[in-house]
Amino acid sequence: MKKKLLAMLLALSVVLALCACGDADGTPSGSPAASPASSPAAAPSGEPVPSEPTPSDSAGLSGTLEVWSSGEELGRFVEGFNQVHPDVTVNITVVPNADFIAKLTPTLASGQGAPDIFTGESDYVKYLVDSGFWDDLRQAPYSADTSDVWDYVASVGTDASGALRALSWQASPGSIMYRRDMAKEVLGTDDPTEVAALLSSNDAMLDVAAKLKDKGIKMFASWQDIMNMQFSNRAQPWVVDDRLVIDESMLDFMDMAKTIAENGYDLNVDPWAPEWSAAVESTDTFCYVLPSWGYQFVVKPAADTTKGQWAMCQGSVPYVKGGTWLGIYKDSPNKDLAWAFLEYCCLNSEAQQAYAAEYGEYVSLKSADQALAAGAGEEVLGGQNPFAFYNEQMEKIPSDLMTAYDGTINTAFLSAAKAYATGVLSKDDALQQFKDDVANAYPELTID
Amino acid sequence: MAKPGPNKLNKSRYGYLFIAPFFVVFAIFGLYPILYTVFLSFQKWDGLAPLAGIGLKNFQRLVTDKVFYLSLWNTFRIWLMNFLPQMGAALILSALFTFNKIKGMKFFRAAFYLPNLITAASVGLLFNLLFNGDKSVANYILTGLGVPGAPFSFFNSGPFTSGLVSYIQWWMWFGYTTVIIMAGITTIDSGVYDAALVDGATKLQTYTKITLPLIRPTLIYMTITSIIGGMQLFDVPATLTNVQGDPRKSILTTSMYLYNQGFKNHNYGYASAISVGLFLLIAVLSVLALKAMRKKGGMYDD
Repeated sequence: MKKKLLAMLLALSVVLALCACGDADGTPSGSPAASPASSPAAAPSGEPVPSEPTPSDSAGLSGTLEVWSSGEELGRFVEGFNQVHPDVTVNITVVPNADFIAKLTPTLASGQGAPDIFTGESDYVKYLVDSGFWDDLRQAPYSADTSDVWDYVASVGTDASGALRALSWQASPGSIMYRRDMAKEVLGTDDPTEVAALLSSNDAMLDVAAKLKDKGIKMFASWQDIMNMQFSNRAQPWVVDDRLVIDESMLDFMDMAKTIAENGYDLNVDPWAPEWSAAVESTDTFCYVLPSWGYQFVVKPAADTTKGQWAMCQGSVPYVKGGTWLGIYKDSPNKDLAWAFLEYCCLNSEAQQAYAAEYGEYVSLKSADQALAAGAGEEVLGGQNPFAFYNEQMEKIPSDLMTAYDGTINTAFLSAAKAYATGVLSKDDALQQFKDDVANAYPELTID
Repeated sequence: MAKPGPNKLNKSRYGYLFIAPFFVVFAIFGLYPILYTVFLSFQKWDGLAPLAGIGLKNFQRLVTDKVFYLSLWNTFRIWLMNFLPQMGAALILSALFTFNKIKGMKFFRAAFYLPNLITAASVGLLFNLLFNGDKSVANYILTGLGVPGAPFSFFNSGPFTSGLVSYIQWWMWFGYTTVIIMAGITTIDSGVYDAALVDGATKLQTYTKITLPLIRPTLIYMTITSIIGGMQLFDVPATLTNVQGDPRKSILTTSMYLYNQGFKNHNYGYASAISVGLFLLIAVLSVLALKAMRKKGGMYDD
């Protein structure tokens, strides 16, 4: 009798344990990676087309090019590149962003097995730009002409001495992506210009949030998304002359975050949580504050019943967030191949137009974006053309405020803002925690 | 006259040759990185610029670094809160399994072991999905049951998050510990039990007076490997929140701290110093554990 009871108990605990295991298998992999897996279209086209008008100076390029990239997207250029340079094999090694620096630095330090081209994402691109491991692209043999590149993109790739170390095929201007149906119901209009006028300052945004709340609608998916926009309000970057600068606007943002959290203007989840992603199809979430890649990776793929109900407009301030830059390793033995590929991705307007038309990604050349702005609008956006909208934003974005310290400092600031917004720490304590964290990460900085 | 000499010499040479592969691999992938880490701990290095020797500065900073001590305390607390229940559960389960004939014992043993086979990173992510947000599974159930105060911001609470890491570690490892202890128990000569039975010992007496002392080597082994593994805890807390040990560093373990100092903040020299400090601490703890468990020293120690 006793044994039966025992067996039952054990069976019960097993069932519980198995339930937990079952969850592990059944849960859709909602990976919080910044760039969701997009099916790589890097299959090299089988037949090189001999009749292709090959530029005479690049004819005869052959060899193997090693590229390390933190995302899959770069591979999408290979097929087109191989039509121009059929004899060049492009080997793209994708290293996840979280491990990228850990894999790259020992390789660069030892010089053994370093790739010809490697990428750098916005969180640490300045660290690589300042390190001097990328060649200056304005010098011979490259002599890059960047007149068609959005200033911001070139400025991020430029180091303190003015040397251009890296370029990008993408640009990532910011936006507020909102629901037209809810805007009409609560604000009386769904026109992007008119909605933008109602969101033209932080206070105005909070007023709208209060109106939405009366109708049972959450204004934001997560207040943490707004942080990237607020960074544009700063007069100076985080670090100036080895001194930490905490701009007044950052303190205002902490209060804004607290207002949002206390009044329940957002879903109270972290970005990339399943609930955050699901808000695309919700009946109670008004907007995402995300840059151009947010449309491509978050809104567009998930919009089904809400197709045509989305639109994008400017918020309280224009901003940029994200992007992947690439540069040529200074001791690469294949600089001619590396330059041919980099030029194809970052400076060839036709290649970028074909790429952007296929994948909907906003690109780094003005002429390509302008050509695409003339095209038809997006079905998901109710006919709005995102390229036209983002072109306007690129004209307005403030100067480049990126530093080599941004990745760590942004995370530390978000942590402190969260502690204050959720009422765990007072503002002074939260700020002290932020300063301590920065001092701990970068002891060489002066902190007041 | 010259015959026997070379033969003997050859034999000893072959011996070295046969054990060489392990030592070569260990020297390249184990010893060299360890020594290089010690070397780096006396340098200032951002990963790309040339090394700069700065003597003991990294260690001076280490002994006054509050975050380092906090991370040590976090790691130790998470380990202890997982180790004690884990040993308790394993001792009870192994006793049940070995002293009772339970139907499907092998199945249960395998099922308890199962969580150990899942990648720790997936487990961290899985538990994040269960508890993150007002509409998470946990909050959905609690709200449905009408629990006052629900939904909860689970990951805003340091004690909860820290406790959750301990629980996950327990859940993943108690099956493994059970299996090892069962293996230890089966090596005990059944004659000893028969003698105890004849003398009229109760089951409890048999367990505490015979089984436990006889499996002490197994317990020592489990404790020391658990200390070493536990003090290096990284994957579960790193994937559960944001690698910074949020909320407010409550689950920032020493390994995460050294990872952030090295690979996030590019202070490779200081990260190496943390790693050397952690190594010394684990060595000391292991010796203490060994001494403590051998204190009553008996004939069965080896």
